[in-house]
Amino acid sequence: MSITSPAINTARTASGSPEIASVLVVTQASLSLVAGLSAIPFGIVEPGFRVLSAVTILVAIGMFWLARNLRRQRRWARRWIIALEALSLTASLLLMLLPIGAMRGPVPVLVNLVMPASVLALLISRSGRRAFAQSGGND
Amino acid sequence: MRASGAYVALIARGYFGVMYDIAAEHAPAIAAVIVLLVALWLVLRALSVLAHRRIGWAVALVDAYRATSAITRLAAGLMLLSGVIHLALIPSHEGITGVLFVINGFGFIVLGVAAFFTSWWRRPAVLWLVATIVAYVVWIIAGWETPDQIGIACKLIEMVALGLTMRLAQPRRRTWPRRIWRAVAFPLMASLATLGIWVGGLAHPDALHAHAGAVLQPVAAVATPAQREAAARLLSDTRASIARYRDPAAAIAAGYEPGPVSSAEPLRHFENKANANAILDPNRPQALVYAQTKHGLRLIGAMYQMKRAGQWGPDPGGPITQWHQHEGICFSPFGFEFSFETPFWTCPVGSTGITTPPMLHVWIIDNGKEGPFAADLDKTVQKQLQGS
Repeated sequence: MSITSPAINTARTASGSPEIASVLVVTQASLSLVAGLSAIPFGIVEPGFRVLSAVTILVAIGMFWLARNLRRQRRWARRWIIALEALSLTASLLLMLLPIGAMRGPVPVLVNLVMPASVLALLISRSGRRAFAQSGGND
Repeated sequence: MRASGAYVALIARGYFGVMYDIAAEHAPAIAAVIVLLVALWLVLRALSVLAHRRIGWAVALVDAYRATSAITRLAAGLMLLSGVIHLALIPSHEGITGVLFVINGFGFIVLGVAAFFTSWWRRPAVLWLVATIVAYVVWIIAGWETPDQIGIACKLIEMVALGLTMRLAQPRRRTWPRRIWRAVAFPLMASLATLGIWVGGLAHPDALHAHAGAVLQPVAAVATPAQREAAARLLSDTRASIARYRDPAAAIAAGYEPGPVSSAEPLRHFENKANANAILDPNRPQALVYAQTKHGLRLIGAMYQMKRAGQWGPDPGGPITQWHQHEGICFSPFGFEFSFETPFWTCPVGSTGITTPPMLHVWIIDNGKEGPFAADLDKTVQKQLQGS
Protein backbone atom coordinates (compact mmCIF):
# COMPACT_ATOMS: atom_id res chain seq x y z
CA MET A 1 0.00 0.00 0.00
CA SER A 2 1.27 3.40 -0.83
CA ILE A 3 1.33 5.48 2.30
CA THR A 4 -0.03 8.39 0.38
CA SER A 5 -3.02 6.43 -0.84
CA PRO A 6 -6.42 8.13 -0.75
CA ALA A 7 -7.50 5.86 2.11
CA ILE A 8 -5.11 7.57 4.47
CA ASN A 9 -6.80 10.84 5.12
CA THR A 10 -10.49 10.57 4.84
CA ALA A 11 -10.84 13.43 7.29
CA ARG A 12 -8.80 15.96 5.40
CA THR A 13 -11.82 18.14 4.94
CA ALA A 14 -12.17 18.64 8.68
CA SER A 15 -8.85 20.33 9.18
CA GLY A 16 -7.22 23.64 9.84
CA SER A 17 -7.05 26.37 12.39
CA PRO A 18 -10.80 26.99 12.92
CA GLU A 19 -11.41 23.30 13.67
CA ILE A 20 -8.53 22.99 16.14
CA ALA A 21 -9.35 26.33 17.76
CA SER A 22 -12.99 25.30 18.17
CA VAL A 23 -11.98 22.07 19.93
CA LEU A 24 -9.74 24.04 22.31
CA VAL A 25 -12.54 26.54 22.99
CA VAL A 26 -14.98 23.68 23.68
CA THR A 27 -12.45 22.24 26.15
CA GLN A 28 -12.12 25.63 27.84
CA ALA A 29 -15.91 26.00 27.91
CA SER A 30 -16.26 22.54 29.52
CA LEU A 31 -13.76 23.48 32.22
CA SER A 32 -15.56 26.81 32.80
CA LEU A 33 -18.88 25.01 33.03
CA VAL A 34 -17.51 22.72 35.74
CA ALA A 35 -16.04 25.74 37.59
CA GLY A 36 -19.42 27.45 37.48
CA LEU A 37 -21.34 24.37 38.59
CA SER A 38 -18.88 23.61 41.37
CA ALA A 39 -19.34 27.10 42.82
CA ILE A 40 -23.10 26.58 43.28
CA PRO A 41 -22.76 24.88 46.72
CA PHE A 42 -20.66 27.81 47.91
CA GLY A 43 -23.45 30.14 46.89
CA ILE A 44 -25.52 28.73 49.76
CA VAL A 45 -23.54 30.83 52.23
CA GLU A 46 -21.63 33.13 49.86
CA PRO A 47 -24.07 35.48 48.09
CA GLY A 48 -21.36 36.77 45.75
CA PHE A 49 -20.63 33.29 44.46
CA ARG A 50 -24.27 32.83 43.45
CA VAL A 51 -23.76 35.61 40.93
CA LEU A 52 -20.27 34.47 39.88
CA SER A 53 -21.48 30.91 39.43
CA ALA A 54 -24.38 32.01 37.20
CA VAL A 55 -22.14 34.34 35.18
CA THR A 56 -19.56 31.54 34.71
CA ILE A 57 -22.19 29.08 33.47
CA LEU A 58 -23.52 31.71 31.05
CA VAL A 59 -20.00 32.46 29.82
CA ALA A 60 -19.40 28.72 29.30
CA ILE A 61 -22.62 28.39 27.30
CA GLY A 62 -21.59 31.43 25.27
CA MET A 63 -18.22 29.83 24.58
CA PHE A 64 -19.86 26.62 23.34
CA TRP A 65 -21.93 28.73 20.98
CA LEU A 66 -18.89 30.72 19.82
CA ALA A 67 -16.94 27.48 19.26
CA ARG A 68 -19.78 26.18 17.09
CA ASN A 69 -19.73 29.34 14.99
CA LEU A 70 -15.94 29.34 14.88
CA ARG A 71 -16.10 25.90 13.29
CA ARG A 72 -18.52 27.32 10.75
CA GLN A 73 -15.91 30.01 10.09
CA ARG A 74 -18.01 32.99 11.11
CA ARG A 75 -15.82 36.06 11.25
CA TRP A 76 -17.70 37.62 14.18
CA ALA A 77 -17.12 34.47 16.22
CA ARG A 78 -13.41 34.71 15.46
CA ARG A 79 -13.37 38.34 16.63
CA TRP A 80 -15.22 37.50 19.85
CA ILE A 81 -12.97 34.56 20.60
CA ILE A 82 -9.85 36.62 19.96
CA ALA A 83 -11.14 39.31 22.36
CA LEU A 84 -12.06 36.77 25.06
CA GLU A 85 -8.82 34.82 24.80
CA ALA A 86 -6.72 38.00 24.79
CA LEU A 87 -8.55 39.19 27.90
CA SER A 88 -8.11 35.82 29.59
CA LEU A 89 -4.43 35.62 28.69
CA THR A 90 -3.75 39.19 29.86
CA ALA A 91 -5.54 38.57 33.16
CA SER A 92 -3.59 35.34 33.69
CA LEU A 93 -0.28 37.04 32.95
CA LEU A 94 -1.10 39.88 35.34
CA LEU A 95 -2.12 37.42 38.07
CA MET A 96 1.11 35.54 37.48
CA LEU A 97 3.02 38.69 38.37
CA LEU A 98 1.21 39.06 41.68
CA PRO A 99 2.60 37.12 44.67
CA ILE A 100 -0.64 35.19 45.20
CA GLY A 101 0.40 31.78 43.89
CA ALA A 102 -2.16 31.81 41.07
CA MET A 103 0.04 29.68 38.76
CA ARG A 104 1.67 26.73 40.41
CA GLY A 105 2.53 23.75 38.26
CA PRO A 106 1.84 22.50 34.75
CA VAL A 107 -1.97 22.31 34.92
CA PRO A 108 -2.67 26.04 35.57
CA VAL A 109 -0.01 26.93 33.00
CA LEU A 110 -1.64 24.66 30.38
CA VAL A 111 -5.18 25.81 31.15
CA ASN A 112 -4.62 29.51 31.74
CA LEU A 113 -1.68 30.30 29.46
CA VAL A 114 -1.01 27.63 26.84
CA MET A 115 -4.62 27.07 25.77
CA PRO A 116 -5.60 30.75 25.33
CA ALA A 117 -2.26 31.47 23.64
CA SER A 118 -2.77 28.50 21.28
CA VAL A 119 -6.26 29.64 20.32
CA LEU A 120 -5.00 33.16 19.69
CA ALA A 121 -2.07 31.86 17.64
CA LEU A 122 -4.38 29.64 15.58
CA LEU A 123 -6.82 32.46 14.83
CA ILE A 124 -4.28 35.21 14.23
CA SER A 125 -1.86 33.07 12.19
CA ARG A 126 -1.75 33.41 8.41
CA SER A 127 -3.59 30.11 7.92
CA GLY A 128 -6.22 31.15 10.44
CA ARG A 129 -6.83 34.49 8.73
CA ARG A 130 -6.92 32.77 5.36
CA ALA A 131 -9.50 30.24 6.53
CA PHE A 132 -11.86 33.01 7.63
CA ALA A 133 -11.13 35.14 4.57
CA GLN A 134 -12.06 32.20 2.32
CA SER A 135 -15.27 31.62 4.21
CA GLY A 136 -16.88 34.59 2.43
CA GLY A 137 -18.99 37.22 4.10
CA ASN A 138 -20.38 35.10 6.88
CA ASP A 139 -20.63 38.02 9.23
CA MET B 1 -6.02 34.28 56.36
CA ARG B 2 -9.46 35.69 56.82
CA ALA B 3 -12.09 33.06 56.42
CA SER B 4 -15.57 33.59 55.14
CA GLY B 5 -18.92 31.86 55.26
CA ALA B 6 -18.46 29.01 52.79
CA TYR B 7 -14.99 28.38 54.09
CA VAL B 8 -16.21 27.99 57.63
CA ALA B 9 -19.16 25.90 56.49
CA LEU B 10 -16.85 23.49 54.71
CA ILE B 11 -14.63 23.10 57.73
CA ALA B 12 -17.69 22.40 59.85
CA ARG B 13 -18.81 19.69 57.41
CA GLY B 14 -15.45 17.98 57.63
CA TYR B 15 -14.39 18.95 54.11
CA PHE B 16 -10.82 17.85 53.57
CA GLY B 17 -9.11 20.07 51.04
CA VAL B 18 -7.71 18.65 47.88
CA MET B 19 -4.55 20.27 46.71
CA TYR B 20 -2.84 19.03 43.60
CA ASP B 21 0.91 19.09 43.54
CA ILE B 22 3.48 17.23 41.46
CA ALA B 23 4.17 13.84 43.01
CA ALA B 24 7.94 13.33 43.20
CA GLU B 25 7.71 9.93 41.49
CA HIS B 26 5.82 11.54 38.58
CA ALA B 27 8.54 14.11 37.83
CA PRO B 28 10.26 11.89 35.14
CA ALA B 29 7.18 12.49 32.97
CA ILE B 30 8.21 16.13 32.55
CA ALA B 31 11.65 15.08 31.32
CA ALA B 32 10.03 12.53 28.99
CA VAL B 33 7.80 15.20 27.45
CA ILE B 34 10.78 17.47 26.80
CA VAL B 35 12.78 14.57 25.29
CA LEU B 36 9.82 13.61 23.06
CA LEU B 37 9.34 17.15 21.76
CA VAL B 38 13.05 17.51 20.96
CA ALA B 39 13.17 14.02 19.41
CA LEU B 40 10.11 14.69 17.23
CA TRP B 41 11.62 17.92 16.00
CA LEU B 42 14.93 16.21 15.20
CA VAL B 43 13.20 13.31 13.42
CA LEU B 44 11.11 15.67 11.29
CA ARG B 45 14.20 17.71 10.41
CA ALA B 46 16.17 14.59 9.54
CA LEU B 47 13.32 13.23 7.40
CA SER B 48 13.06 16.55 5.64
CA VAL B 49 16.79 16.54 4.82
CA LEU B 50 16.67 12.91 3.63
CA ALA B 51 13.58 13.54 1.52
CA HIS B 52 15.35 16.52 -0.03
CA ARG B 53 18.08 14.09 -1.10
CA ARG B 54 15.45 11.90 -2.77
CA ILE B 55 15.78 8.91 -0.47
CA GLY B 56 12.72 6.79 -1.22
CA TRP B 57 11.41 5.84 2.20
CA ALA B 58 12.06 9.34 3.59
CA VAL B 59 10.13 10.87 0.69
CA ALA B 60 7.25 8.49 1.41
CA LEU B 61 7.21 9.35 5.10
CA VAL B 62 7.35 13.08 4.46
CA ASP B 63 4.56 12.75 1.89
CA ALA B 64 2.44 10.87 4.43
CA TYR B 65 3.08 13.56 7.03
CA ARG B 66 2.23 16.37 4.62
CA ALA B 67 -0.89 14.59 3.41
CA THR B 68 -2.22 14.43 6.95
CA SER B 69 -4.54 17.19 8.14
CA ALA B 70 -3.42 19.58 10.87
CA ILE B 71 -6.11 18.34 13.24
CA THR B 72 -4.97 14.72 12.75
CA ARG B 73 -1.34 15.71 13.27
CA LEU B 74 -2.19 17.44 16.53
CA ALA B 75 -4.34 14.54 17.77
CA ALA B 76 -1.52 12.11 16.90
CA GLY B 77 1.06 14.33 18.59
CA LEU B 78 -1.01 14.53 21.77
CA MET B 79 -1.48 10.76 21.82
CA LEU B 80 2.27 10.27 21.40
CA LEU B 81 2.75 12.69 24.29
CA SER B 82 0.36 10.76 26.51
CA GLY B 83 2.00 7.48 25.50
CA VAL B 84 5.44 8.72 26.44
CA ILE B 85 4.15 10.10 29.77
CA HIS B 86 2.64 6.69 30.60
CA LEU B 87 5.86 4.86 29.68
CA ALA B 88 7.93 7.30 31.78
CA LEU B 89 5.74 6.59 34.80
CA ILE B 90 6.03 2.79 34.65
CA PRO B 91 8.90 2.57 37.20
CA SER B 92 6.81 4.37 39.82
CA HIS B 93 3.72 2.19 39.33
CA GLU B 94 3.73 -1.41 40.48
CA GLY B 95 1.43 -4.35 39.83
CA ILE B 96 -1.57 -4.11 37.57
CA THR B 97 -1.26 -0.31 37.28
CA GLY B 98 2.28 -0.68 35.91
CA VAL B 99 1.15 -3.33 33.42
CA LEU B 100 -1.71 -1.11 32.27
CA PHE B 101 0.73 1.79 31.87
CA VAL B 102 2.86 -0.36 29.54
CA ILE B 103 -0.18 -1.36 27.45
CA ASN B 104 -1.55 2.18 27.50
CA GLY B 105 1.78 3.81 26.60
CA PHE B 106 2.46 1.52 23.64
CA GLY B 107 -1.20 1.69 22.58
CA PHE B 108 -1.05 5.47 22.34
CA ILE B 109 2.23 5.36 20.42
CA VAL B 110 0.82 2.83 17.94
CA LEU B 111 -2.34 4.91 17.46
CA GLY B 112 -0.32 8.14 17.20
CA VAL B 113 1.82 6.64 14.43
CA ALA B 114 -1.17 4.93 12.78
CA ALA B 115 -2.89 8.30 12.42
CA PHE B 116 -0.36 9.18 9.69
CA PHE B 117 -0.53 5.95 7.74
CA THR B 118 -3.96 4.38 8.15
CA SER B 119 -7.63 5.18 7.85
CA TRP B 120 -8.84 2.94 10.69
CA TRP B 121 -7.13 4.69 13.62
CA ARG B 122 -9.93 7.09 14.61
CA ARG B 123 -12.42 4.74 16.28
CA PRO B 124 -9.80 2.78 18.24
CA ALA B 125 -8.26 6.11 19.30
CA VAL B 126 -11.60 7.40 20.63
CA LEU B 127 -12.14 4.16 22.55
CA TRP B 128 -8.57 4.16 23.86
CA LEU B 129 -8.77 7.77 25.01
CA VAL B 130 -12.16 7.34 26.70
CA ALA B 131 -11.01 4.12 28.37
CA THR B 132 -7.85 5.81 29.65
CA ILE B 133 -9.69 8.80 31.10
CA VAL B 134 -12.37 6.60 32.69
CA ALA B 135 -9.73 4.24 34.10
CA TYR B 136 -7.86 7.17 35.64
CA VAL B 137 -11.03 8.41 37.34
CA VAL B 138 -11.81 4.89 38.61
CA TRP B 139 -8.26 4.53 39.95
CA ILE B 140 -8.55 7.91 41.72
CA ILE B 141 -11.95 7.13 43.24
CA ALA B 142 -10.75 3.70 44.36
CA GLY B 143 -7.72 5.31 46.00
CA TRP B 144 -5.20 3.32 43.89
CA GLU B 145 -3.75 6.57 42.54
CA THR B 146 -3.40 10.05 44.02
CA PRO B 147 -4.49 12.95 41.82
CA ASP B 148 -1.47 15.10 41.06
CA GLN B 149 -0.68 17.72 38.44
CA ILE B 150 1.14 15.33 36.08
CA GLY B 151 -1.82 12.95 36.02
CA ILE B 152 -4.32 15.79 35.62
CA ALA B 153 -2.23 17.48 32.89
CA CYS B 154 -2.07 14.12 31.09
CA LYS B 155 -5.87 13.84 31.25
CA LEU B 156 -6.16 17.37 29.85
CA ILE B 157 -3.91 16.37 26.93
CA GLU B 158 -6.02 13.24 26.36
CA MET B 159 -9.26 15.22 26.54
CA VAL B 160 -8.04 17.65 23.86
CA ALA B 161 -6.88 14.66 21.75
CA LEU B 162 -10.31 13.09 22.25
CA GLY B 163 -12.05 16.31 21.19
CA LEU B 164 -9.90 16.54 18.07
CA THR B 165 -10.43 12.88 17.18
CA MET B 166 -14.19 13.15 17.69
CA ARG B 167 -14.22 16.23 15.49
CA LEU B 168 -12.72 14.18 12.64
CA ALA B 169 -15.83 12.03 12.44
CA GLN B 170 -17.87 12.36 9.27
CA PRO B 171 -21.46 11.82 10.42
CA ARG B 172 -23.52 10.06 7.80
CA ARG B 173 -26.91 10.44 9.44
CA ARG B 174 -27.63 13.85 10.92
CA THR B 175 -30.57 12.95 13.12
CA TRP B 176 -31.37 15.17 16.10
CA PRO B 177 -30.43 12.59 18.79
CA ARG B 178 -27.07 12.11 17.08
CA ARG B 179 -26.55 15.87 16.82
CA ILE B 180 -27.35 16.33 20.50
CA TRP B 181 -25.07 13.45 21.47
CA ARG B 182 -22.21 14.92 19.40
CA ALA B 183 -22.74 18.28 21.11
CA VAL B 184 -22.87 17.02 24.69
CA ALA B 185 -20.57 13.97 24.65
CA PHE B 186 -17.32 15.85 25.03
CA PRO B 187 -18.43 18.42 27.66
CA LEU B 188 -20.05 15.56 29.59
CA MET B 189 -16.81 13.58 29.50
CA ALA B 190 -14.82 16.62 30.70
CA SER B 191 -17.31 17.33 33.49
CA LEU B 192 -17.43 13.74 34.70
CA ALA B 193 -13.64 13.46 34.63
CA THR B 194 -13.31 16.64 36.71
CA LEU B 195 -15.98 15.50 39.14
CA GLY B 196 -14.38 12.05 39.44
CA ILE B 197 -10.93 13.44 40.20
CA TRP B 198 -12.46 15.77 42.76
CA VAL B 199 -14.52 13.07 44.48
CA GLY B 200 -11.52 10.73 44.51
CA GLY B 201 -9.33 13.37 46.07
CA LEU B 202 -11.96 14.12 48.73
CA ALA B 203 -12.43 10.45 49.53
CA HIS B 204 -8.71 9.88 50.04
CA PRO B 205 -7.19 13.08 51.47
CA ASP B 206 -3.45 13.34 51.84
CA ALA B 207 -2.04 13.14 55.39
CA LEU B 208 -0.71 16.69 55.06
CA HIS B 209 -4.11 18.20 54.22
CA ALA B 210 -5.50 19.62 57.45
CA HIS B 211 -8.82 21.14 56.42
CA ALA B 212 -10.40 23.11 53.62
CA GLY B 213 -7.55 24.16 51.37
CA ALA B 214 -4.85 23.90 54.05
CA VAL B 215 -1.61 22.04 53.42
CA LEU B 216 0.51 21.33 56.48
CA GLN B 217 4.26 21.79 56.70
CA PRO B 218 6.03 18.39 56.54
CA VAL B 219 7.53 17.74 59.98
CA ALA B 220 8.91 14.91 62.12
CA ALA B 221 6.39 12.66 63.86
CA VAL B 222 7.53 13.22 67.45
CA ALA B 223 8.74 16.39 69.19
CA THR B 224 11.98 16.33 71.17
CA PRO B 225 12.07 17.70 74.77
CA ALA B 226 13.89 20.79 73.44
CA GLN B 227 11.13 21.35 70.86
CA ARG B 228 8.43 20.99 73.52
CA GLU B 229 10.23 23.59 75.62
CA ALA B 230 10.62 25.94 72.63
CA ALA B 231 6.92 25.58 71.78
CA ALA B 232 5.93 26.42 75.36
CA ARG B 233 8.22 29.46 75.25
CA LEU B 234 6.67 30.66 71.98
CA LEU B 235 3.18 30.34 73.51
CA SER B 236 4.10 32.24 76.68
CA ASP B 237 6.01 34.95 74.77
CA THR B 238 3.10 35.43 72.36
CA ARG B 239 0.56 35.54 75.19
CA ALA B 240 2.64 38.12 77.09
CA SER B 241 3.28 40.23 73.99
CA ILE B 242 -0.29 40.49 72.67
CA ALA B 243 -1.92 40.99 76.07
CA ARG B 244 -1.67 44.74 75.41
CA TYR B 245 -4.13 44.32 72.51
CA ARG B 246 -7.02 42.89 74.54
CA ASP B 247 -8.84 46.08 73.68
CA PRO B 248 -9.26 46.13 69.86
CA ALA B 249 -8.85 49.91 69.96
CA ALA B 250 -5.28 49.43 71.22
CA ALA B 251 -4.59 47.07 68.29
CA ILE B 252 -5.97 49.59 65.81
CA ALA B 253 -3.87 52.34 67.41
CA ALA B 254 -0.81 50.12 66.96
CA GLY B 255 -1.46 49.73 63.23
CA TYR B 256 -3.58 46.57 63.08
CA GLU B 257 -6.40 46.80 60.54
CA PRO B 258 -9.67 44.93 61.25
CA GLY B 259 -10.67 42.34 58.67
CA PRO B 260 -14.14 42.20 57.14
CA VAL B 261 -17.15 41.25 59.25
CA SER B 262 -19.03 38.09 58.28
CA SER B 263 -22.16 36.71 59.94
CA ALA B 264 -20.96 33.15 59.22
CA GLU B 265 -17.45 33.73 60.57
CA PRO B 266 -17.06 34.37 64.30
CA LEU B 267 -13.30 35.05 64.07
CA ARG B 268 -11.87 38.37 62.94
CA HIS B 269 -8.25 38.84 61.94
CA PHE B 270 -6.62 42.25 62.51
CA GLU B 271 -3.60 42.53 60.19
CA ASN B 272 -0.57 44.77 60.56
CA LYS B 273 1.21 45.24 57.24
CA ALA B 274 4.13 46.94 58.99
CA ASN B 275 5.02 43.55 60.49
CA ALA B 276 5.18 41.81 57.11
CA ASN B 277 8.95 41.30 57.27
CA ALA B 278 9.05 39.96 60.83
CA ILE B 279 9.66 36.21 61.11
CA LEU B 280 7.99 34.46 64.05
CA ASP B 281 8.61 37.48 66.27
CA PRO B 282 6.26 37.38 69.31
CA ASN B 283 6.55 41.16 69.58
CA ARG B 284 5.45 41.68 65.98
CA PRO B 285 2.86 39.08 64.91
CA GLN B 286 1.41 39.66 61.45
CA ALA B 287 -2.18 39.41 62.73
CA LEU B 288 -4.25 39.25 65.89
CA VAL B 289 -7.28 36.95 66.09
CA TYR B 290 -10.42 38.08 67.90
CA ALA B 291 -13.58 36.06 68.50
CA GLN B 292 -16.93 37.72 68.02
CA THR B 293 -18.79 37.08 71.33
CA LYS B 294 -22.07 38.39 72.68
CA HIS B 295 -20.05 40.91 74.68
CA GLY B 296 -17.92 42.13 71.80
CA LEU B 297 -14.54 41.11 70.44
CA ARG B 298 -12.34 38.88 72.59
CA LEU B 299 -8.61 38.43 71.86
CA ILE B 300 -7.95 34.71 71.44
CA GLY B 301 -4.66 34.46 69.58
CA ALA B 302 -2.08 35.68 67.11
CA MET B 303 -1.17 34.65 63.60
CA TYR B 304 2.37 34.58 62.24
CA GLN B 305 2.76 34.60 58.48
CA MET B 306 5.66 34.29 56.04
CA LYS B 307 6.00 36.53 52.99
CA ARG B 308 5.82 34.02 50.14
CA ALA B 309 3.87 30.84 49.38
CA GLY B 310 5.93 27.72 49.95
CA GLN B 311 8.34 29.54 52.28
CA TRP B 312 7.78 27.54 55.47
CA GLY B 313 8.67 29.45 58.62
CA PRO B 314 10.94 28.29 61.42
CA ASP B 315 9.19 25.72 63.61
CA PRO B 316 10.97 25.77 66.96
CA GLY B 317 8.49 23.24 68.31
CA GLY B 318 8.90 20.78 65.41
CA PRO B 319 5.62 18.91 64.91
CA ILE B 320 3.96 21.02 67.62
CA THR B 321 4.42 24.29 65.75
CA GLN B 322 3.48 23.09 62.28
CA TRP B 323 2.82 25.86 59.73
CA HIS B 324 0.11 25.58 57.09
CA GLN B 325 -0.72 27.34 53.85
CA HIS B 326 -4.00 27.53 51.98
CA GLU B 327 -3.98 26.29 48.39
CA GLY B 328 -6.43 25.74 45.58
CA ILE B 329 -8.75 28.47 46.76
CA CYS B 330 -10.83 30.68 44.47
CA PHE B 331 -10.89 34.14 45.95
CA SER B 332 -13.46 36.71 44.95
CA PRO B 333 -12.71 40.34 45.82
CA PHE B 334 -16.47 40.98 45.55
CA GLY B 335 -17.49 40.45 49.15
CA PHE B 336 -14.23 38.78 50.15
CA GLU B 337 -15.51 35.26 49.49
CA PHE B 338 -13.94 31.86 48.86
CA SER B 339 -14.67 28.67 46.96
CA PHE B 340 -12.43 25.87 45.74
CA GLU B 341 -10.56 25.50 42.48
CA THR B 342 -11.44 22.55 40.27
CA PRO B 343 -8.73 19.92 39.72
CA PHE B 344 -8.03 21.72 36.42
CA TRP B 345 -7.31 24.91 38.39
CA THR B 346 -10.27 26.83 37.10
CA CYS B 347 -12.30 29.30 39.14
CA PRO B 348 -15.62 31.03 38.47
CA VAL B 349 -15.41 34.23 36.43
CA GLY B 350 -14.58 37.16 38.71
CA SER B 351 -12.53 35.11 41.14
CA THR B 352 -8.94 33.96 41.02
CA GLY B 353 -7.00 31.02 42.37
CA ILE B 354 -4.72 31.94 45.24
CA THR B 355 -2.18 30.29 47.49
CA THR B 356 -1.51 32.05 50.78
CA PRO B 357 1.94 32.27 52.35
CA PRO B 358 2.41 29.80 55.24
CA MET B 359 0.89 30.80 58.56
CA LEU B 360 1.03 29.65 62.17
CA HIS B 361 -1.73 30.35 64.67
CA VAL B 362 -0.97 30.66 68.37
CA TRP B 363 -4.14 30.38 70.45
CA ILE B 364 -3.72 32.05 73.84
CA ILE B 365 -6.98 30.56 75.15
CA ASP B 366 -7.48 26.87 75.94
CA ASN B 367 -8.00 25.39 72.47
CA GLY B 368 -9.31 22.03 73.66
CA LYS B 369 -7.94 18.90 72.06
CA GLU B 370 -6.62 20.84 69.03
CA GLY B 371 -3.95 22.56 71.11
CA PRO B 372 -2.42 26.06 71.10
CA PHE B 373 -0.80 25.82 67.63
CA ALA B 374 -3.58 24.17 65.63
CA ALA B 375 -4.47 25.46 62.19
CA ASP B 376 -8.06 25.90 63.39
CA LEU B 377 -9.87 26.78 66.53
CA ASP B 378 -11.38 23.73 68.24
CA LYS B 379 -15.07 23.47 67.21
CA THR B 380 -16.25 23.06 70.82
CA VAL B 381 -14.24 26.09 71.91
CA GLN B 382 -15.61 28.05 68.97
CA LYS B 383 -19.20 27.22 69.98
CA GLN B 384 -18.48 28.20 73.57
CA LEU B 385 -17.05 31.52 72.45
CA GLN B 386 -20.04 32.25 70.25
CA GLY B 387 -22.37 31.52 73.16
CA SER B 388 -20.39 33.54 75.70
